[in-house]
Amino acid sequence: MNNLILPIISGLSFYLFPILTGRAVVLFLKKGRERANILYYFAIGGLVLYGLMLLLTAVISALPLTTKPDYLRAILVVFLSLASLVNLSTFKDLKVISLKRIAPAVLTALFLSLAVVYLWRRDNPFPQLLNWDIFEHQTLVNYIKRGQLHFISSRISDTFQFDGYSTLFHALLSIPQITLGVEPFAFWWSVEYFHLFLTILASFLLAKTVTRSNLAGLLTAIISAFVFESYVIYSSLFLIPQTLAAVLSVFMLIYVLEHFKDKKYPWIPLAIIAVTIFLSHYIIGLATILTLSALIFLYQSLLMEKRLVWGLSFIILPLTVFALLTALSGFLHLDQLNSGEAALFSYTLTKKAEFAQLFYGYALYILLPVGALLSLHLKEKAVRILLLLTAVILAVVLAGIPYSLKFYVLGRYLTHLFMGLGLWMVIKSMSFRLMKVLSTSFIAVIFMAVFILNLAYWKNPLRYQGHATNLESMEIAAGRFLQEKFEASNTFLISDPSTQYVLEATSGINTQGGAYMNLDSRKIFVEALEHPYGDQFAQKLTQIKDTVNVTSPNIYLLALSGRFFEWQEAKEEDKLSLGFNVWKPYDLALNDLIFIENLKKTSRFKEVYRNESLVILQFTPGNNLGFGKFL
Amino acid sequence: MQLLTLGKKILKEALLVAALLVMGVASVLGSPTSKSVTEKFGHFVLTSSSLGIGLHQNEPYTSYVFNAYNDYLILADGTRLALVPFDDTRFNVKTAPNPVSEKLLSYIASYFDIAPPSNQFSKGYQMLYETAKEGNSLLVRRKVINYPNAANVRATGATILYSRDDLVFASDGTLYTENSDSVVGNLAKIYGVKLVKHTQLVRRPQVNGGRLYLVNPRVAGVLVMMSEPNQRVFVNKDYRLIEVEAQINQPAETEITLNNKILYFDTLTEAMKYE
Repeated sequence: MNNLILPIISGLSFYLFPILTGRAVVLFLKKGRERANILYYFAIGGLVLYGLMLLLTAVISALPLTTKPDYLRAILVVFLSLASLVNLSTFKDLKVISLKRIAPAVLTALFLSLAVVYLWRRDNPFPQLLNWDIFEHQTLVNYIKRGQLHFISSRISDTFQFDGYSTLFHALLSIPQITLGVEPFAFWWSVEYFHLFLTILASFLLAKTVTRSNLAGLLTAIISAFVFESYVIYSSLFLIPQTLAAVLSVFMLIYVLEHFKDKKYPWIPLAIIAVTIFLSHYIIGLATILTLSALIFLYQSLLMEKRLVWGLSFIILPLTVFALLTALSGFLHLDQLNSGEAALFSYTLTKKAEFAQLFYGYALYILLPVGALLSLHLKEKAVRILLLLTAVILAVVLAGIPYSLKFYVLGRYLTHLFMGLGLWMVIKSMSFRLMKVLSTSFIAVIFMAVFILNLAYWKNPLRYQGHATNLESMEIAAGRFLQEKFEASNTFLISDPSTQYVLEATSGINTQGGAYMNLDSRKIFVEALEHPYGDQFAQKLTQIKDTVNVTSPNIYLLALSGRFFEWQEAKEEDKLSLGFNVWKPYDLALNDLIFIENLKKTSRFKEVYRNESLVILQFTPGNNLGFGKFL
Repeated sequence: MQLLTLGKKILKEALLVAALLVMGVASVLGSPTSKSVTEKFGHFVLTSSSLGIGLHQNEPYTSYVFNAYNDYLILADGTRLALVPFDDTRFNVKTAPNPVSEKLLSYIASYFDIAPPSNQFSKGYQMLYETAKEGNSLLVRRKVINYPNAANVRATGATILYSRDDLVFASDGTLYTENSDSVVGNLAKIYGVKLVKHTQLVRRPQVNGGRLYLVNPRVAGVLVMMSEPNQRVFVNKDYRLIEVEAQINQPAETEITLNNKILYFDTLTEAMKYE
């Protein structure tokens, strides 16, 4: 239990630090009692902390590498302590949200999130992880911890080739790790729980805002909790830029809906929140801005009060969006984006239908149309507008453009809203309270069953020693060794893309691109491995060059892991493809150990580390055998 | 009047509940499921599929399958009969026919490791394969039920097909598989285990001692087959089968049972140290 306390605090701090900072800033700028608005505090605090990190890292850039982390930590600790003091000293002035109003939502989110975590983590013990994207984000965080930060992620590390977001997300991730000294993967294990909690809370509050009903909130929250979009989208269980942007967007949507009645919109807070969401993920941010702008415009307009106008819009708009985007994609060759990675994220309608079936069973096909039809009986204008916007977002999701599925990270909240509304309207019309309770419980059991079947299917290929994981303890241990021994030196590690990706994140040692090793480097590596025992092997490996940190390394390391040998068995086209990864750990087999022993016989390779999963060799390039400096 | 109103209420309630039930059940039925019920066993995954009970890791490298196709019975006159004869009728063998609901429940139960994989082959008589796991020990129990002429059966054999590059050796260091000298030499170098090749002339040797080690050079983990005192173990080199044979001293009327015990170890070093 003691091992969990620091990770839990640090996970919570990812949200708490910006909130405390934001409130302190608001109090500083605005005197008197303020209306509690946690989303606004988070947004403004996030921007302030990001600005502070950019400034700090620029200022301390002239300092020696070894002292930068200490300065960063000291200044952040002072700053956050001040923010905390301001908050504590004004605590009595805080106008809290009514407990009666928030308690059902919070308790529901707590109960459901714990149930989800029990199911999700039951074969994924602490601190093993099931979020492949974590490694690239942690790689960036490692750079930030060393005092290197830039607004553009691809200017920091060549693991990033496409700048779909600023480094705001990473800066916020780094702050608890810097100030609290928590083990990074323990932090990730914890912070993802709080993200899950917030996605469920957001769904509950969205439904409740629209209907004023806790039952509607509960049913929507149940759906949100137990639907895991296990490919591309990952809304509830993975904390990545798109999912953070989406959950902030939903809270922003709730904020807007709450102001519909008085028609006075707090434009400055909305703008600040929008900027934060945009910096978290440009595409989702843009989609949020467009959606909320449309929502406000349509609500103000009288057009939506005319059923015919609404009906025609409901049919024509989504179809037009779908057709336009699909045509545009072909015309602009969008599948060439991101060095061709976009082609891997272009799915046919059939494939999308398969995904929907995996995430929902048949629930989506049944409950969404039913919910949409039944919700038309509700008098609230906002419901019809939201339904229209849901249809448009779903049209985008279904359109034939690369990455279109990512828009479902936002669309899922609206989809679940209408699924929940449909169930609510059926259950609330029951006469007997007992039947309502039993029906709600039945819905929870059904979605839980779908969730378990989804998890079992998705986790199957990720089995390692009976656990489902992308990362195991041997790799963390290897990372720690590398960090302690080699971080201070200009070290370059080479391996298959997946091993590079994992070790760069666990150790902070540079690789060429991690899992996004570029095509040239892959070709060099594949060619070199055709003659691993030859004199030129080591020399050829040094032709692999980092594209951002161009200084020649002092030390070269070659990691030979179970993953590496698994990758070696793949077809050449897979080895050269960005889309092929060895997603789970492997231990070394007899043949692998034989290869390693034979490689060590050549004097260029000296073993520096070994465990059951991998062996790390230091090597010297150059033509003279036996020369070169080993640590 | 009041009764009528109540009746209408109940009918409406029943209709709503029925609608919810239909929607709910239909939702779950649409969920795709994994190909088989599985359970973890070290680096291996224990599965139940139409092929039988399998221990898999990194297919196609390792796949140790228990099924009825190679298992056999030996009659009183010494005749050896396959449980499922290799003829056209083998296609009539039914395996593990479960209704969808049972399958869904099995998949859910297997997620919680409370559904040990099992399989049943049916061809008039039934051949049931059940598993029970405890720690690193796996018991695969095969029962033949309602076999005609069961009273005439004097021995029964269960078989496992091993892979072409497996090293199969006994605790006395006798290697029964036909691996290259370099592989045998490398095993000695890496693990300090020196093996002596069994003569190729004997194509179905009986294994000395109660243990048989299975090592595949391409994957991690080691399996050790532990035979019971009344069992004899053979390595059938021509068909790449490990045959565990048990004498039946008291012929059964209806049920013929044979147990296979397998241990798992992460490394060969651990496996060799096991007492």
